[in-house]
Amino acid sequence: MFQLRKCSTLLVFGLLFFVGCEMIVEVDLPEHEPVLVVNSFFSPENPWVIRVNHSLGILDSNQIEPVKNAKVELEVSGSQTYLLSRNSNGYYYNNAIPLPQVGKNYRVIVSAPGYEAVQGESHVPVAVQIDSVKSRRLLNTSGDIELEITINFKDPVEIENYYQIAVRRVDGPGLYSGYLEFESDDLVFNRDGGTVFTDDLFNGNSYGLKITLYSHQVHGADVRVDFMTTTEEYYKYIKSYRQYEDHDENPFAEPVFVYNNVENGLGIFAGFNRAQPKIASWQQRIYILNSQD
Amino acid sequence: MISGNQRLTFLLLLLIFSSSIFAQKFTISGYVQDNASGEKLIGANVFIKDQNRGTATNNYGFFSLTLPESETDSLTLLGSYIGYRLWQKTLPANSNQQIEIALQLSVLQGETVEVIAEALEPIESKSQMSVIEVPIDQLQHIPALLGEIDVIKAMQLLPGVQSGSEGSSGLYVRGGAPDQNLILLDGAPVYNASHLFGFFSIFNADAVKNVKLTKGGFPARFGGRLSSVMEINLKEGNNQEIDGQFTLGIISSRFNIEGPIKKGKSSFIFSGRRTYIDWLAQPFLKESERGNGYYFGDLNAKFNYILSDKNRLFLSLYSGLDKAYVQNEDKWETAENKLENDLWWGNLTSTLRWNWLISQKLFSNSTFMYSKYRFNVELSDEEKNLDQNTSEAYYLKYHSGIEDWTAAIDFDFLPDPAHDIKFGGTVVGHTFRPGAVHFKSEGNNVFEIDTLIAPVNTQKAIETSFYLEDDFDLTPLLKINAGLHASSFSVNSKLYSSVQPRFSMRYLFGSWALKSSFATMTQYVHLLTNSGIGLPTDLWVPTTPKVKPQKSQQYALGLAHTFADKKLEASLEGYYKKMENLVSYKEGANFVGLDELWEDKITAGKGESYGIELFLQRKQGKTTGWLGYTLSWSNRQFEELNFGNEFPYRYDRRHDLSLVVNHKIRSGIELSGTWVFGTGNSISLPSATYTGFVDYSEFLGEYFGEIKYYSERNGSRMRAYHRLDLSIRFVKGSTERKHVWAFGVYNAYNRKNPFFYFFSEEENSTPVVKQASLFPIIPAISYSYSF
Repeated sequence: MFQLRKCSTLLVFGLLFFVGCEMIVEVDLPEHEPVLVVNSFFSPENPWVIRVNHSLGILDSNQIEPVKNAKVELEVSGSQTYLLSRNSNGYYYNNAIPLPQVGKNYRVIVSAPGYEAVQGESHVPVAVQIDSVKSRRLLNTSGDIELEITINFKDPVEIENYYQIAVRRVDGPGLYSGYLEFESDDLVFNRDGGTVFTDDLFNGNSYGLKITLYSHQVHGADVRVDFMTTTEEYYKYIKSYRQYEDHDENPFAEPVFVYNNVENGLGIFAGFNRAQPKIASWQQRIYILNSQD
Repeated sequence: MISGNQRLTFLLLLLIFSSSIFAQKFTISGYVQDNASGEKLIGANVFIKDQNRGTATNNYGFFSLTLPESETDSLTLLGSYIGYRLWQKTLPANSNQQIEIALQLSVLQGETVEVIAEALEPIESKSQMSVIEVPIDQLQHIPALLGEIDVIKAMQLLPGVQSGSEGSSGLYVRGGAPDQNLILLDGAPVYNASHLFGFFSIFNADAVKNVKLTKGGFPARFGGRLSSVMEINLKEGNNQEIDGQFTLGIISSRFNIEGPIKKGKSSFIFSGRRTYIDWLAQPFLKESERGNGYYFGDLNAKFNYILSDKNRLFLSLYSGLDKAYVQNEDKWETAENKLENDLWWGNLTSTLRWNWLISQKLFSNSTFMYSKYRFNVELSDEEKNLDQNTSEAYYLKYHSGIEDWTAAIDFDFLPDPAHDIKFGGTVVGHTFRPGAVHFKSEGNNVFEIDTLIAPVNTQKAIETSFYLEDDFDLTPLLKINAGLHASSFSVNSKLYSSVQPRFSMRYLFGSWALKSSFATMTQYVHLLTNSGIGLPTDLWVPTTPKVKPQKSQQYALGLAHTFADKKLEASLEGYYKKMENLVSYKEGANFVGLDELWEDKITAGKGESYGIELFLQRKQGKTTGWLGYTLSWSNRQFEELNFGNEFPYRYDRRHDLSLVVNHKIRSGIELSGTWVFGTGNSISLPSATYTGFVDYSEFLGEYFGEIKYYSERNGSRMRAYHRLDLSIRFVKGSTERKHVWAFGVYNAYNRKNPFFYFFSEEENSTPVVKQASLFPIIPAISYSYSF
């Protein structure tokens, strides 16, 4: 009997041994000719900078290099065209170009030897201003102190708006920390945990958006609230890129496709406009948060 | 103002009730059964030789033939069924009669069975199309992975039906998804029909009597799913004598015992199966690992009572379980630790059915059903400090499932041979538990907690449906099946309803039939699944006020023909199917996220599929089997996936071919083989990488990451899949005591078929794509003894 069991077990383990074998295969991957990759977010606060490099086939072991011999042109509202010059890292700039402005349409046209010419188009939206920022400190059920910040603003009627929230700790006069990861149960974030949102849920109305920071992030300091009105392309890119980063290595998740708006190439060329920043104060009364709150 | 739908409904009702009335004089009705076991035969043919009229038995072996007045005093009644000798009897004409037709199995292997061709209902005579029945005897001879005969994998060999990944028992019918198949075990829906992560199906072939797959042209009695209905009926049990069978296989053994409770009146059948890798492995595991293992098992039981000539009662039960477990205990001088992890899932179904022959022309069927599917993960970790006499314990439990209570009544009214009218209704109470996590901590000074930490969103819903259909001869050449299926679904105070017209017809010209069909279907339940292999974690969820019911419209046109002395059947069908409100996880979403409701993780879209199917089948003779070929396209379009662009469905398979052959070499030796070929599955593989860009320019500078660029969702193809399986069976003994040795080989020429692709690097850091394959050449052996 033991022999029978032993034989059967060996047979089973023998079979399982073969399971999971792997081999290198020639895969019918879509042909990929390297294309120009153009990246630029622009707003009225910063001079024009456009980064140009190239894509690589997925099985190409070379490094992605800046494209240093590109011709980068910026066309403003179909009339004026400016040529941008480059620096050594593949950044193209021209401080003579007027800063991005609301009401103008911008088109970037990039060409380089060996690549198909590419172009992208965007604009600078009107910045929706923050009406007020309110804050309060809450003692949550875990014994931590949270800073709850409510950002009040009025969404313009008739146009579809896209927004982004960013917060930094005020470390001193004119000194700010890096961007802090905040939390929010607000439905506008659609439980995605991102920083960008649309006006779908409050179009044309005043809205108070609540976000939360923890005491270990704030260290008793005040917080600066940056509120950006963005273009649709900016919103789509940031949203899809965040999802992509969150799930790239997850074998159970659906693959995420990152948005791009560069015709014949890849990358993002998108405008945004920041409202006048506001400060949320840490020095508030502490409220005790019940589990029902 | 009459809408198009109303006009269609009116037309269908007119067709149903405008029966071609002719002189109705007398009715012959009864049951067709196996003479040795009393087992009722489904789909057996009953034929009046003198009047050239015939019919087939229903799912309970019942038939009814109402005939015009006969000019002769007697007539000849024929009964036939594949694998049985022809039965014939002369009966007095012009009087109502109830007949038991007891067919005798053709005893000898390869025996030539007398066949009167007209007694067999050829494929072209049926109004329905897109229906395939494979004799269970033929299914049992198909070579199987590790010798585990698998009904669903046999269905995957039919045209229009595709398997998913290597070894998986998922069904993809005419471009549909696995949740669009209604799998009925004795009428009760089965929600997860697989064991061992989909490698084996839950049906014990020894207990199965009949399998029928409908993939289009759905008659009105079917509803609730978009793509197919698979009816699996279990044997009723031998009501004459005790019969049994046991089979020893490589990974599992199974048994089947049946017999009379009261001879000729009532019967039972029990069958079971269990894998034993966990037991066999014990001697070879370290002591600390002996609490680890995996098994699956099934139990079927059925009781059948003939209460009277007109009343029969059935009780059918099924329970199946997959369980993987890890138990570990560690002891030290001052402490002890006990860790237990359990992962288990399984189905439970039960059906109580009452057949009542109200009159010779009216047969009724009342059914109560219960069906449940559960998936559970349980983790516990207990630690004792013996010095301080303290203990800490943590428990984590994840559970999801679905539970149905069903009451149904069906009537079969056979006013004359030209009409078979079916009508009835069903009420289903669904309870969906799409996932909850229970966390408990004890003895911990920092925090003690006993809480549900994920959304508990148990949802209840009521689904009702009513149907009316008639299968009727409009002229001797034109036969029509027309009907209506109406359904509703009530969930969270929202009521959905739908009226679904169904139509199919055949027109005879010679030995050929032209067939066409149209069916609209509505489905109120959805399966959330990631696009990888089917896992028990896949969640069944209901239609809700936010998630709409799935809908489809399917059109089919085909030809059917019987030839070679009625031994070969051929069909050629083209179909087009449109689907709406399909659900899919959003990009990046999966079932694990605890902080989100499932409704927030999904997105809705539409799909279409179309193709051509060829099926050539030989059901009798020394060599039997079939050839199936499908040329098809299947696409999806979701606003939130692939930037709203249409993309190929993961199982979009351009070519799919199956060849199944069973040959009796001589008495007692049978050779079987299958060869399958399929275009590789569609997958999303990135074609390039480029630099991502997020501008935190003011203080942090910029952040760059690498982005993989996908030109299209499911835009790449895996290598083609092909495989040859062979088996040989040696049968010794008589029908009373039979020994069967079966030897088989799966993947006979050791094709490395793709299971999934992944990126890797060679030693010199060159990136490569690798293919993981699952099953190489695998031998199988089994021994079976029946008595």
